[in-house]
Amino acid sequence: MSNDKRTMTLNLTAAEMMVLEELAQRKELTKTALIRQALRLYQLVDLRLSQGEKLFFEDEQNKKKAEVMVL
Amino acid sequence: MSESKTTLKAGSSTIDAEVHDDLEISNLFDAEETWAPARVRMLRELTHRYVPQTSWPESLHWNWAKKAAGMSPARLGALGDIRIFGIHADSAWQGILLAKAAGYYTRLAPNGRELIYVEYLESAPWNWEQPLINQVARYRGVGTKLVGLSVLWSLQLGFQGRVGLHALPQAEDFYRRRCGMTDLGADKNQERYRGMRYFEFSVKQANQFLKGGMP
Repeated sequence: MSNDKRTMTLNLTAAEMMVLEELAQRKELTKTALIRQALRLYQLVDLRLSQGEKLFFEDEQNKKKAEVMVL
Repeated sequence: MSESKTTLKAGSSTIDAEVHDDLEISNLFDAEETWAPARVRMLRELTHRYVPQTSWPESLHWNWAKKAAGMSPARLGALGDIRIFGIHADSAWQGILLAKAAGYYTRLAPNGRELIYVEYLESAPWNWEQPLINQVARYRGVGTKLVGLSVLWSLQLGFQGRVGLHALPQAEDFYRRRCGMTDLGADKNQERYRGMRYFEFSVKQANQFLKGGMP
């Protein structure tokens, strides 16, 4: 597994940082790991949408299904 | 593709093996090229011995070349959501594990945390213990080492070793006893998982597993 890493400075607003910290705490991830995972998810969603697939949220219990529009 | 060294048990001795943690699609074709004839030989033997189909190995119909053909290369690599691990020894792939890192969450409390989901894990057909056709596994320990690699990937991503999977019935004991994963029972989604049971490593279980069976 490659360990070749680059460092960057990320400027976030206080509100954005609060979201990042809350999510990281809830997911038990470091902020870096959370951002990496967000990138991985975004890349996956973008790839599949670009291949013509659609993204849905499904509530199996209540039989609800809604398409997620990604900009 | 990076690699490290390990050993596999071969009867009373051991052989050197390579652990690969970043297989490419072409490697899956390579694997199936050598595994398919072994599957056919096993199928012939099972048929010849009138072994009922209910006792056949459950992954006998798998085809890694077909899985490879339907896979997008963009999903592999550094930030890809898929990673394929393999053990190579004796000039052949001895086992392969395909895992995913996005969109899967722990079902153990507290739920909602990320985990690595093992989609497929298979040892080469000659490594299957098949007493009904008098086949003894050529190399042992392949599955355990591959599961260990998925735990290491989980740790690398910050998921603290959490790994989840659905097991074929013949593999349930392996995950329950050998790996020490929690058995959360048959998945409620019958249509998708056809009654397969869901297993998961908690953080503690993953650590215990690595201490006992580090690849």
